[in-house]
Amino acid sequence: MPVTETRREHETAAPARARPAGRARTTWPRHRARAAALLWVLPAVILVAGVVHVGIAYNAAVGTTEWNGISPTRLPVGFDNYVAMARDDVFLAALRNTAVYGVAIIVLQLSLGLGLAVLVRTQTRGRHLLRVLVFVPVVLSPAIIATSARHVLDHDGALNAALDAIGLGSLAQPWLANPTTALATLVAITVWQYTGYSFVIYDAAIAQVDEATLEAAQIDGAGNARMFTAVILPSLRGSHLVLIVLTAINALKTFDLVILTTGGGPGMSTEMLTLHVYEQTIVRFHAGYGAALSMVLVIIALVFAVLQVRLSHVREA
Amino acid sequence: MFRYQSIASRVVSQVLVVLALLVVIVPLGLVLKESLAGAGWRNYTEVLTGTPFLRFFLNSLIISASTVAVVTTVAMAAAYGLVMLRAPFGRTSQVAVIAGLALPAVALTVPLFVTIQRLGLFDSPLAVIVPLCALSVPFGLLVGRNFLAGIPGEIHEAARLDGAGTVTIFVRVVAPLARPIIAVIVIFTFLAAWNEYFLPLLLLQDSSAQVITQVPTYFQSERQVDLPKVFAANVLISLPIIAVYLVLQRQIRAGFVAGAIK
Repeated sequence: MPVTETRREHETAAPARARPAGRARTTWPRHRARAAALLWVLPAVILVAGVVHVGIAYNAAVGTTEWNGISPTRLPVGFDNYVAMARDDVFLAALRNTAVYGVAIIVLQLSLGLGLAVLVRTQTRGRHLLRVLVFVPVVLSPAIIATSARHVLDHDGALNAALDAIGLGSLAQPWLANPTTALATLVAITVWQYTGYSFVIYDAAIAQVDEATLEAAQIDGAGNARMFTAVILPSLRGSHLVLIVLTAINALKTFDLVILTTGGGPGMSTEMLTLHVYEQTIVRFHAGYGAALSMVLVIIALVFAVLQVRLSHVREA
Repeated sequence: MFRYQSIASRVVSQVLVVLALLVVIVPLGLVLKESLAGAGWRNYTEVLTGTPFLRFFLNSLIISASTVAVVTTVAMAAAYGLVMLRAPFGRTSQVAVIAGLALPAVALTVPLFVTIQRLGLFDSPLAVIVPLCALSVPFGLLVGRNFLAGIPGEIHEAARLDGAGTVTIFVRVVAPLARPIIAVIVIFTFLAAWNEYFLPLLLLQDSSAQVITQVPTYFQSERQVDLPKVFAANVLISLPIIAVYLVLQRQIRAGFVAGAIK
């Protein structure tokens, strides 16, 4: 629907601008009404432009200087900050970790969410309870989950105690303090928290599948597996796309979980882009470099935002 | 949907359902159990009375309620202006506003820190409310705009011909019609504000100004880590949210679906 709405807008917007001055008298009330309509949009524009756009412009300006964030003078250094990124091991690790983490949570949350959405359609006991409970972690604060997880997954935490109790003590380890398991553990915590989200999206999409089509397939002798691959899966393409973009955005935004569990360590094994920006700017007073790093975040976020806006149109059309 | 399953696949499905339930419930149960370690329920009363927990709670409430009020009003007003009043606001400009929805707040660390410092607004709720609103409006505008675009224009024209002004139409006609999407915006914005950790970490440093997501770190800095109390605080923070979710679970899940797809 936004597609038609946009077209309508272009049709009316263009003539209003192009109208010759001689006809101003007849168009004046209309023109004024449309100008007044801008007042409704203004607060949103002021808010977003004043914080987001001005903030990005400020980042772009500060990003070309060397500055500690406090002193009254900034040393212009051109694109040196961006050149420095190529040699910044922490930045490269952060880029790699963010990508790995993003891909991992996309794959796991989508496949587990879809699996659960299929599971609640079987005639099993507890499926209604599952539908309600699996979403509980989604509404909780990542900061709270992070502090709880940090202690539960500690070397003398509850998970290792439980492993010991069931005779799997050899698997016990400091999950978040071991460089080989730390990133995977963060993935696991995230997947635990947010699979409920992809579940809900798939659950709603499957509910939209036409009952008549399913019945017809059944009468034609299609088994459950065939019904899934031939009828249900093809109807989920839009859901996959939406979830991939939203989950990627969440991966990019991840900050609370990491700073409150590993702080990016051990070593650089769980370093993320957001964490690097925070650390350079606030902890090390490298505001110039921090601003340049922020611009990298801005550009990646912009790509995802454009994708999301496009998807919301594709689905409506 | 899958009404006819073989015995074997029925058993497998049942096992998987139980397994999934355990994976969700056991970690939550562990936190509950840890929160009762040592002094038992006294951990809870001590968190409530012996720490600024209630102050943090109130601060969170102030910040979240203000953010929800501002974002819902501003986003719906803008959606109304764009869709029904056809404000001359080009498509590129619209995308430029909406594009804020993928931006991590961390990307604004430098400008926010410098601005709040210059304005002397550290520890003021405004320092968090304004950027939170700016980062939440794009989502509200996107879903609000798409929702209003689905309402027939004739409804608006009819109200107009009856002589109603734009403000009256917005309050009396559009807002009631848009109630489902307003609920989505309220739920999303409230959860985002209530659960926000980064902006308070950056801008609220005095413990009298801090919010609920900072409680666990408060415990770690103020005294030696008193684990059962950290867990008790975590339970206390999560309970209101879980309670609201359980009461409104259908609407909240439907809201998340609408928020993702529209």
